[in-house]
Amino acid sequence: MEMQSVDHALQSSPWEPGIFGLAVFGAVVLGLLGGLLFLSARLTPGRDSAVKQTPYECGLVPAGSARLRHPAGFYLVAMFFLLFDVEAVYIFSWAVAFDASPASFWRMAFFILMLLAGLAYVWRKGGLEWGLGKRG
Amino acid sequence: MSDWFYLLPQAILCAGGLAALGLGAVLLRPAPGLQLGGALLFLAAAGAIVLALPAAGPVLDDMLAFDGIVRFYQLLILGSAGLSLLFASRYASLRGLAGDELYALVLFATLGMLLLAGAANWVIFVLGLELFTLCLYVLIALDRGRRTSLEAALKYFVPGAAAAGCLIFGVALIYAATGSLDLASSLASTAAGDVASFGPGLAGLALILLGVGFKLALAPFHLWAPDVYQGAPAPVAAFLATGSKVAVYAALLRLVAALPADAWQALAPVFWLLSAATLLAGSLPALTQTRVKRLLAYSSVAQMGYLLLALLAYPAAGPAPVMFYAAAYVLMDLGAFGSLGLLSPVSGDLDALEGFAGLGRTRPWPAAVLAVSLLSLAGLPLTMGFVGKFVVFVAVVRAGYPVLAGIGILGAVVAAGAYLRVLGALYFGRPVHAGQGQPPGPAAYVALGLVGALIVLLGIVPGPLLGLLR
Repeated sequence: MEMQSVDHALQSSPWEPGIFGLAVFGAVVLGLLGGLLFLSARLTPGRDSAVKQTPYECGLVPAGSARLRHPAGFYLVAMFFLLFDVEAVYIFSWAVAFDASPASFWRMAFFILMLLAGLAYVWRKGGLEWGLGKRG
Repeated sequence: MSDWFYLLPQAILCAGGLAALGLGAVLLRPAPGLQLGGALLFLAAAGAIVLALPAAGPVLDDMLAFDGIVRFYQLLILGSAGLSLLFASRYASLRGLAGDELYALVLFATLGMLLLAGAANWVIFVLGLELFTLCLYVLIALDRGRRTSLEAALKYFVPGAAAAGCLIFGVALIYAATGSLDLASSLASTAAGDVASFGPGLAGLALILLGVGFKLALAPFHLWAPDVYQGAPAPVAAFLATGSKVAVYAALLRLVAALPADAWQALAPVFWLLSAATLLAGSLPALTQTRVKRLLAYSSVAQMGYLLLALLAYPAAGPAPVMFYAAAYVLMDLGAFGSLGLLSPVSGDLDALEGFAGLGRTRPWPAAVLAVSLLSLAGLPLTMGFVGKFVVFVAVVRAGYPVLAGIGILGAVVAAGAYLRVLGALYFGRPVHAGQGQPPGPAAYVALGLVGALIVLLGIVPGPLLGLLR
C-alpha cells in the first residue's frame, strides 16, 4: 500500500463545547438586527406611494412584465464554465504538493483525462453550440 | 490478494457509466437494446465480483467494509438497479426519454449506493450518499417536458440539499468530538462518562439521523415522498424507492452495530418514536388516498417504518429480520412501481383509481404482478411480505417492544384496506379505456416474471434465504 496509513489512535480534539461564546454571538446578532429594524422604523419619514407598493421597488416605476424569455444557452455555458473552472482548484493544489512520484502523476493524468472526456461529450452532444435554434 | 480488488465492483460500475455516456456521444442515438444489454452486463459483472470476493475486515485504509451483510446488501442494490432498468428500458424509449443519461446515471447511482452500503468511514458515507442523490435528482427530472416531473425533482432537490447540509454538519460534530472519521472507532469513543465527547457526539448523531431520515422518508421528514413519487416516471420511482432506501439501511445497520451500549440507550427512544410516527404517517393517509402513485408512496413510507422496527430489534434479534424485510421490500416496490409503469399509457402515468378499472382482464400479466406486489405490501400469507412482517414482529416482541409491534400491526391492517381498493378496481371494475397501454416488451416481461415469481416463491419457501441470513 502506497497510501499513508492513517493514525487511528484516538486523541481527543482540542475543541471544547461551550455555551458562552454562542450566547454572546447570539446576543450580538439579535441586538444588531433589533437595532437596525428599530432605527429604520423610527427614523424614516414613511411616506407611502403606489410605486413603493410594487414588488422589488427601487424607486423606479417598473416597465414591462417580469416574465422575460432568456436564451437558456447562457445558463448552459455558465454551468460548463463553472464545472471546468472548479477543476482548476484541484489541479493547483495538486501542483503545489506534487512529489514527483509516478503514482501522483498518474492519478492527476487520470483526472485530467476524465475532464477531457467530459469536454468531448459536451462538445459532441452540442452543448457548446451558441445561439438559438441550432440544436436539436 | 490486494486491497484494491475490493474496489473492483465500484470501478466496473464507473467504467460502465462512462461507457454508456461514451456510446451516447459516439453513436448519438444508440439502440435501446444495446444500451440496456451493456448496462446489465456491467451490473452483472459487478455482482459476480461481489459474490466472489472473500469477506474481509475494513480494507483500503479502513475506508470500506466487506462482510456478509455488505455483500447481501450490495447484491440487493445491484439487483434493484438491474430490474429497474429492465422495467425502464421500453418505458423510456416509448416516451423518448431513453438517452444515454438514463443508463449512465443509474449505473453511477448504483456505484454511490455500493459505496454507502460498504462505508466504514464517514467520508465514504457522505460521498456515496451524495453521489446517488445527485444522480437521482436528474433521473427524477428525466421527463423534463412534463411539469410534474420537474416539480418532483425540485421538491426532492431543495430539502435534499438541506438534509445533506445537516448530515455533513453532523459528521463534522462527530469528528470534533472524537477526532476520528472512522465510523466504528468514532462511535465507540463517544462514551457516556466523557461529557466533552458524548454531548457533541450525540448532537452529531442526531444531525446525521436527520439527514438519513430525509433520504429514507421517515416520519417527520417524509412530506416530500408523495409528491416526488407521483411526479417521477414510474420506473425511476421504483429505483428511488428501492435501491436508495436499501443502501441507506445497510449503512444504518452498520452504524447501529457500531454504537456502544450507552449511546444505543440514548438513541433507542428516538428510533422508537421515529418508527411509530413513520408507521402511522405512512398507513393512515393511505386510507383516504385515491391516487395510486401517492398511495404507493405512503406505503413505501410505512415500509420504512417496518424496517426501522427491525433495526430497533437488531441488538436483540440480529440482522436477519432487517435483511429479509429489505429484500422483500425491494421486490414488492419494484413490482408495484414497475408494473404501474407498464400499465400506463404514453400520455402520462396512471394515477387515479378509476384508470386501473378492469386492467386485470385487459392487461393480465402486469396487473397480476401489481396485484401480487400489493398483496405482499398488505402482508397477506403466501407472499414474501407476510413472512417479512412475521419475522419482524417476532423480533420486535422478543426485543421487548410490544406496543410498537401493536402499532405496526394496526398500520398494516389499515393500509391493507387501501390496497384492497386498488385490487378491487383492477379485477372488478368496468374497463373505461380499453387497450390504452403499450405492450411491455420482452425485457419488462423478464422483470415482471422475476419479481412476481420471487415474491411468491420466497413467501412460500422462505427457509433457505432466512437460514442464509442467520
